[in-house]
Amino acid sequence: MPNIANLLICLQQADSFFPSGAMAFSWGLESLVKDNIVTDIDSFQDFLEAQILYRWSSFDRGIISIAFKAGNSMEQLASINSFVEAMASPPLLQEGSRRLGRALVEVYVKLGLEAAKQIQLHLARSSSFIHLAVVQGYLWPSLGMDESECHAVSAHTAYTSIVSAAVRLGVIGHLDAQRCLSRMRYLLEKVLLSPVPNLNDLSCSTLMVDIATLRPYEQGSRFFAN
Amino acid sequence: METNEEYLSINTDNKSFPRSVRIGIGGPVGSGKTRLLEQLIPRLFDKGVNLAIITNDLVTSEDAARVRRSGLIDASRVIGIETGACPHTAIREDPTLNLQAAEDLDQLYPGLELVLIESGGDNLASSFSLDLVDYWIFVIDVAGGDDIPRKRGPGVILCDLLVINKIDLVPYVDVDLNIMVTEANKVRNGRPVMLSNCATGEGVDVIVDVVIDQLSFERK
Repeated sequence: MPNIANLLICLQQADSFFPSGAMAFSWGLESLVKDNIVTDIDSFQDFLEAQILYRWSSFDRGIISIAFKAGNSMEQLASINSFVEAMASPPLLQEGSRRLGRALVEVYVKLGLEAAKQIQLHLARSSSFIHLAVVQGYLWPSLGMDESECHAVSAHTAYTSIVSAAVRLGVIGHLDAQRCLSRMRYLLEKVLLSPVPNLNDLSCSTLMVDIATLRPYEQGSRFFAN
Repeated sequence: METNEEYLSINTDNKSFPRSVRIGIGGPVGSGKTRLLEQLIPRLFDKGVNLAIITNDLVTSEDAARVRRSGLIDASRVIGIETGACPHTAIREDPTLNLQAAEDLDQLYPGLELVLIESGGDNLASSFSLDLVDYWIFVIDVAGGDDIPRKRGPGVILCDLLVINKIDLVPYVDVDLNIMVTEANKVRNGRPVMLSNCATGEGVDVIVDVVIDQLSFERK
């Protein structure tokens, strides 16, 4: 018998209706579309799998677990947050992770979640910022979510926001979007059942995307923040 | 499972002043939202209002760049928000980044009294989240047709102030302004409807008075 209460909590956090700010980020997709590198469902699926398997699965998932285990230790959270910063993703991707981390904290503060108030207070005192995966691993347990639920919801929000961006950029239609989501669900099931990578094994490298986001905005106006 | 009882309570603390008052300006593409903004800024400065601007254009920075270039306001007081091609979502279902920007402006400019938040051009169904703004203005224009109020779009019906802009174009676009105003008043149940020509500033002084009144009201 599944834990219905937890299932409902997960669905609420994973819903694109949850106000996370994610709709403003394409994670490099917009640049690759303008470059005519991502042009159809096949090239988009490659992009999506690279982002989820070689960034989220190999990096964010491990960060979530470390933050999850840190409990209420602000010291440990600061340490893992510094690690994320030191991994030196391209600035636009780092900035996106920081902005969405802050957004998630602020939304939960406004919703009255005590753990969010604590981290906001800590951030204000230390004049620092926090990355999205760290916030997810720290805050979601206070809603009652277990570690694997945190992983599943984080992965779901990551790939649905990218697929949604692809629809808005006209790369795929609404049915192909669902086909992409189904395939990602199939691939992620295997990932989520495998051991979580250790800190020393974490990596995030999607070179084509990284380079695309490093280029100046010579391509003119943009819809997305990255 | 541990539950956070405080989290489960209904939290209504969305207007924890002191913070700046936030007024939204929405409306269809090309109705004159940015032009209204450009007319409001100098008049509000003349009245001593400490203000800043957030724009939500379809593309990242078009309207923000226009307002900055205008020289009407310190460029650092103008923030352009990315909407991911979803201008309506950015002001209603997920105004997170707009709220961040407004809070950043409050921190950057102590004593900030007013933030004007211009939405991206959208359709008649667009409206602002009441957790984002304290008051919102919806701008339509006569060139859109005199049947616009009759269509009862949520923007026309729900806004605090409806502005019918470009009244100078009435002779050229085959519309009946009287019908437009009458029907706007009818669908809005008597809530305010104002007329303007934001190209010249005609009618804007009255809108400024409304904004000032709103500032005083929210500050009480």
